[in-house]
Amino acid sequence: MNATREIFWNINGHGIIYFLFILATIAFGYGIFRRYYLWRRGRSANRNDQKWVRIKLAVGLVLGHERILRKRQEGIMHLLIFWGVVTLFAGTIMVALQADLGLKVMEGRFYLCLKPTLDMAGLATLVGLLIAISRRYLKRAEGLDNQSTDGIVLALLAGIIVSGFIVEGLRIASTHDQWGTWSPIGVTLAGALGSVDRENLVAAHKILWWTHAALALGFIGYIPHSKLIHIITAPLNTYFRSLDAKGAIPALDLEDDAVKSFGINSLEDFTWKDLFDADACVRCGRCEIHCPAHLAAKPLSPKKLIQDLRTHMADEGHVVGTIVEEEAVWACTTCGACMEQCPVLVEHIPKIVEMRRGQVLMKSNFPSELNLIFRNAESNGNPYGLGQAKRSEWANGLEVEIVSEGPAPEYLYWVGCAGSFDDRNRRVSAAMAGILKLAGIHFAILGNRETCCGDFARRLGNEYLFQSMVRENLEILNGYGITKLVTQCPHCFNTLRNEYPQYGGNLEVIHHTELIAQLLKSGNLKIKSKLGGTVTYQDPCYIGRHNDIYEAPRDIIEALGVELAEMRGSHNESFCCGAGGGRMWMEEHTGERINVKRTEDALCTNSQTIAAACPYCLTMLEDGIKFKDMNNKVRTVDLAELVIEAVRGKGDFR
Amino acid sequence: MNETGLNIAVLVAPVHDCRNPVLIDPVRKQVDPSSLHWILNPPDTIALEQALRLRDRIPRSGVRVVSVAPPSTERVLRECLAVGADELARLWDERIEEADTHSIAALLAAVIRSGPVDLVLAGWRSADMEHAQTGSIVAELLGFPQITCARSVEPGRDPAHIRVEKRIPGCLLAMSCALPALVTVEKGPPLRYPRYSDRRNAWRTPIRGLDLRAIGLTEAPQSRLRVERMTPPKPRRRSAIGDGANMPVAARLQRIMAGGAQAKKETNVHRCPDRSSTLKVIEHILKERLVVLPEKSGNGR
Ligand code: SF4
Ligand code: SF4
Repeated sequence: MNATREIFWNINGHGIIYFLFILATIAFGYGIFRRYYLWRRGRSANRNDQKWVRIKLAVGLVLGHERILRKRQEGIMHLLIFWGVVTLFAGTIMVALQADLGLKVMEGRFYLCLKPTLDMAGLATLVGLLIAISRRYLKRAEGLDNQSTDGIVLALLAGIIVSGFIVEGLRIASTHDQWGTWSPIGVTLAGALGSVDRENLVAAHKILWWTHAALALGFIGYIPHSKLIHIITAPLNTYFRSLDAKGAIPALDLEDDAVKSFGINSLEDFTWKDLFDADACVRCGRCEIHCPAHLAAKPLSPKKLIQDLRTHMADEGHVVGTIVEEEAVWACTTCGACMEQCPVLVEHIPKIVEMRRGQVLMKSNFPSELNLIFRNAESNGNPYGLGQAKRSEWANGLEVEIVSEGPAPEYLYWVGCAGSFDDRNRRVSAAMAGILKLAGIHFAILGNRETCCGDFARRLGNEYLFQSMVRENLEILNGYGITKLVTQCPHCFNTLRNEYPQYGGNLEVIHHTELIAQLLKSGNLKIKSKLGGTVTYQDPCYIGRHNDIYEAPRDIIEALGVELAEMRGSHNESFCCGAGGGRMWMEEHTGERINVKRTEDALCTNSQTIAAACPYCLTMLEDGIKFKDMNNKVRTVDLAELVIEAVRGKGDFR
Repeated sequence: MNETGLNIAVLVAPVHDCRNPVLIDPVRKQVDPSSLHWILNPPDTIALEQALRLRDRIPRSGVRVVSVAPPSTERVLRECLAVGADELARLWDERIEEADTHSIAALLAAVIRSGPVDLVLAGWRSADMEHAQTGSIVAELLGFPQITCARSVEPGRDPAHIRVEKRIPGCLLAMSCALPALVTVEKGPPLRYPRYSDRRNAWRTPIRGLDLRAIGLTEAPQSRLRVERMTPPKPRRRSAIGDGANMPVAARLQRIMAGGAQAKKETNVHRCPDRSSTLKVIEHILKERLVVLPEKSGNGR
């Protein structure tokens, strides 16, 4: 006998279901259209090129849960619910195919396979829901805020699954379905109901069947009116992701005369993708619990920023000062922790930088200390405001070649402003020059012709200043025919490598940790004496998260014979030192000091040495060490300084 | 006169920025003019900011920037338009090249007279020659009362007056001055940073350069003062507290002097502490054992 079941057993007037279905579809369609209408208000942005690359990346993220699973517990929770619901939805489609199109799918061996599959899917969903409920209401997990809609969504899903199981159990119990054993959960429930008389079973079945159907259709209608909209928007958002280099801020055309407003001033200045992002956000809070600004009690939360954008998407008028607090806009260190964590690939930093652009370029409204910094950079080519004539002072007596005075070098050593003007970081530059010499690399510096790379200006929204620096630098670099650069500053590195191409730069840039790691590996640089001891390493945001360089610095540490004690939050979960995004040049008025927080993490490792690979990190951590009064016990160094110590033999580098 | 608001003229001088290297053209053995970096005389920018603030507070007022400067300075002078000056009057003539302060002041006075004026503002001195005379001579030539070294210039009790504050040892002096008048400004809030949109407009605003004929002169005023010789001072070693790029102790001192570990910016560093704060710093160093005797210098930096 062919295995199957009667679809509408015990149900009269099932035609009403079509009516309910139409209602749900209208609620769904109306909700989506309303949001679509709002997204359409945004500016244009092309996020539909390279379709196959996009699809491939999206498949891994959506079906494979690559990002979501980074957090074990909630990853598994979502994976169970996701695949559970997808499977059950597919099962429902099978039923619809049979009932409405008359296709005989629910038959035979396929039907028998479908039964346990759907049962397991329901069970998986239920387990996922239990984890979700316990995380949200019992454990009150970090980063989650409980709104009534969260409860409704969970209750709807749980109601659908539980009523589905009971309906199945009731049907099996009342029809003595011979294929019932293929539904393990249904048959177990039926067994439990065995003692109830048939009449009651049939009546209960009828009620629960309709309940199940109503809940399921209600769920569909509720999608666009709640965070469930992410079922639609999240996969699309991963498809529409940015395919540019992670560390690059999108370019801005300042030359275009037709453009009257730069940056984000009103809601219409966002791109449609920015607005779409807000509807993809699921309020998971992963961005927030990794945001250094938020954790140091500044008035910025990337989650709140995106949610506020969502809430006010239909508004008119200004964004900064109304939808987003002014101080929040300036609190971001552009560390990228939010974007690295976000499971639905919301792009926070470009929005924040665009808002800063609006404030700087159109309103000239920014924290007052930046006035001096911008002017310094404008007239002296560096934010320190020291004369360009002092730029190569650090190299006095070190016999470092200047590009203009010798044959074309293999590498241009791009020193950067901190390495040129900051006393402490000048010693790193000296160490770096020593390493390059010992490795026999022919290098030169631009000397006084080097100008700030512009990283800080761009991230502070001063695109005009940034672009004038880019132009100046590219002119000089191209003038000397330079294509290969090495730098110890992750900010210079990222900007030269990922942002200069936006303005015609074509540079091969390498970070000093990468170059040193290569030189140690190839044997061009030989270690005289291993150093010993323990060291902890601060992953700089701009080589780590923004450029995925995590191993080269660790290879160096290993080669030095030093034991590495990782801090709480390393690799892509590293916690910013607080100086990125132009924060180096701003005062910290509110909340705790970010650098002190990070220094505490470093001190927790009990290492005698804190190694940085970034001049800002070095400055900030050294300040933190002094603040903690630990400067007699712990030293802060750049990796290059450790390397020269080991290469020259101990105690030699100072 | 003030029904039309206040007509403010600001004297602005472009000066060379001595913090940037001057390159010598090796072929022609001359200073490479492209390496000469013009900036606005810093005290003048403060005067300009005062003028803009007055303009913003008194309706129907206008700010006119007046400068005697060669055409090569036009780029930097446009900055004045970008921040909001209504007009820029730049006068130049080849024959002015060697002019002394008095002749420049005479030319400035002539340009100022060519338009309506109620108030003249200027920086208290310029960063090139540092005579601190230009403002005063202009005031004399215009027959205006003058106040020097002001700290703030505000609207007065009635439209025919302004209120000026300056600091003299031990107290703050508030004065009321009848208009028209000239005020030189010593301190005040820094010049506002221009919006990009204003900057872009400023680049496109045509600037009409004035020549001697435009102000009714046929000849440049006679210069009676001539610089005979410039001798750079002998380099002096700065004390360890003030400088010492390679001295880690000094690096630490800088931080301490700038307010301890709170500070992270070089710009906060006070390079010339007075005696009492020096003593405090030394006390602090001794107390905190920041200086370790050389024989123990293993990790004592
Ligand atoms: S980039 Fe960093 S500081 Fe800025 S919002 Fe994201 S996590 Fe916070
Ligand atoms: S922006 Fe992303 S990480 Fe942040 S709450 Fe929304 S979905 Fe979660």
